[in-house]
Amino acid sequence: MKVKNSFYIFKKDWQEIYKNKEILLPIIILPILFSIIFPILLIGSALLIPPEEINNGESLRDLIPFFQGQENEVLKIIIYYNINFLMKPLFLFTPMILTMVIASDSFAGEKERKTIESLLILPITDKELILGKVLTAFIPAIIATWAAFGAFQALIFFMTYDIIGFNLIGLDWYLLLFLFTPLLSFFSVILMIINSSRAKDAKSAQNVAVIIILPVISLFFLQMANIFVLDVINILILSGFLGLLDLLMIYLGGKQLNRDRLISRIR
Amino acid sequence: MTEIIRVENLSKKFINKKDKTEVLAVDSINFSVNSGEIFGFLGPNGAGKTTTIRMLACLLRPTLGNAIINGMSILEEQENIRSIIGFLTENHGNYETLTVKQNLEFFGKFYNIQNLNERIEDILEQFEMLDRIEMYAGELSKGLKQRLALARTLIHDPKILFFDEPTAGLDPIAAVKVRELILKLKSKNRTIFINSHNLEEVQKVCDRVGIIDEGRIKRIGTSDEIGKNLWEFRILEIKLKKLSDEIISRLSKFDFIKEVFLINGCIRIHLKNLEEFTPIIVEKIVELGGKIISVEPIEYSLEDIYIKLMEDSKINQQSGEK
Repeated sequence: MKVKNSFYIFKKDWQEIYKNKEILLPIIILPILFSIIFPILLIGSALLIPPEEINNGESLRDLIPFFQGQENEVLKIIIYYNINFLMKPLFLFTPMILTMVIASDSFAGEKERKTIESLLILPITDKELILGKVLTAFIPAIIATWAAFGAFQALIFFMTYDIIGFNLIGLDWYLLLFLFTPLLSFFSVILMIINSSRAKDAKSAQNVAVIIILPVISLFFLQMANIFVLDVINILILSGFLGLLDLLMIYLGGKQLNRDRLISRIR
Repeated sequence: MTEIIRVENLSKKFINKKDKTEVLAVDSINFSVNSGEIFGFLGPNGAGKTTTIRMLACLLRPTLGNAIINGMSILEEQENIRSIIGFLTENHGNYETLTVKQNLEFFGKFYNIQNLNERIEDILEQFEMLDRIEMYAGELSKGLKQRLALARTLIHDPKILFFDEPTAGLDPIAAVKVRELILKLKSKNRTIFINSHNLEEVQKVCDRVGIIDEGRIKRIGTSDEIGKNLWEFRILEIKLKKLSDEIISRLSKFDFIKEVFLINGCIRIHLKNLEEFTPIIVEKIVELGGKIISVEPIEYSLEDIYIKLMEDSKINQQSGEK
């Protein structure tokens, strides 16, 4: 297998994406939204609550007990809750949506623009071709997410360190970003590429997005309600489960994605 | 001439996912194409032309049979075959948001071309497009888009070329340029396989023709060869210095002549055996005092042959259904 062939496809796809505002805009906007806008709003709103109302935050005391008796106890709890309960699952939306937007265009976009035959005639193997399409969606989604996380981490540190007294971004965040997120992105990429290979156009290729979006939205509400918390143990368990799903997707992708199936669907 | 494409019992079956019925798009076809030849593949829509060309270009795997391209099997050496062929698709297939140069760079990289930039400039110069190297493919006119697609197809100087409807949708001048290029490629000993609806074009550029319908090859050969024995009667055109009714009425009496009629001041005779009866007819005209200027058999055009074959196929199909 010549990996350089896959990178040629990756480069070409990105030259195209660079000119496609429908794909490019979410890639720019989403990371900014989740890494800068949301944290500023969440922390800012906590800082704007009048002190007398903050003192009423009894229910949160039970949820996050380790600030008990400290100065600005409820403010600290609210900031902690916003960052570690609300923001954590929200961060999963960035790679998920980005991989969906890019990967749904992978083969369906080529069909829509009638370039699929000239792509498939290239002297490369099916594996090199598919790897190229996987890289096109996976690498930018991960880079954008990690870059957003870098900005988010710095912002959180500067905005909250003086109030909280320690870094709110702990091991759970690192596991979420560097283990769980790549596994989820990979699952999303393969699922979308398989669907893109069967769809007529990129928009109809997005119809399976609900398979990925629903569990993440559920995760968001479960975490908000303190029913299922994304702590170190749970992230490791979910990552193991996703790892198995990814292996299943590699198997399914190998069966579903080949020239014969791709070209048979073009009339 | 050496055989460069050999097709052996090639078949392709598709399964209609809605009603699970099987569609036999190509049904055990056999033919060969010689090195340096231009081979035209004709047939109506849905006849199996595109499926055949896609199988030969290793884009589709046959259900049965095989094809040998330059000594390599389409079942086993797909990548190697794809590296020595060029495939011009019916839709130009250029990336419209990429520049002319970016398009050629992308396709050229897969063929290990030494000094790719030089090759790009060289090929664009041949296609009179060097001044448009930085233009986006989407900004080009239809004719120029087709020229870019051709440049892309030829970037690695392939031995065998597959052209799927190469002049479809082009204006007459652009179409002539494409035909000129096809003939230029033939002079460089390239083998060219053309799928086309354009009978005039095929007749002008192709050495041999294959006619396919309902997945089966109906006829194969040169225009003359495929027209042979297709009609019961041939046409002889005789130009006389002066026409006479007597000559026409006397000729009509021969039992080997089916019909005699006048067209553009010439006598046209429908008869069964041209070679055997032409001397008898000429002799009779001279005997009746007619002064002959010319005697010429009328050749059927590829269009006549194609229409006749399609009509026969329809008749056979209808009688089969009954």
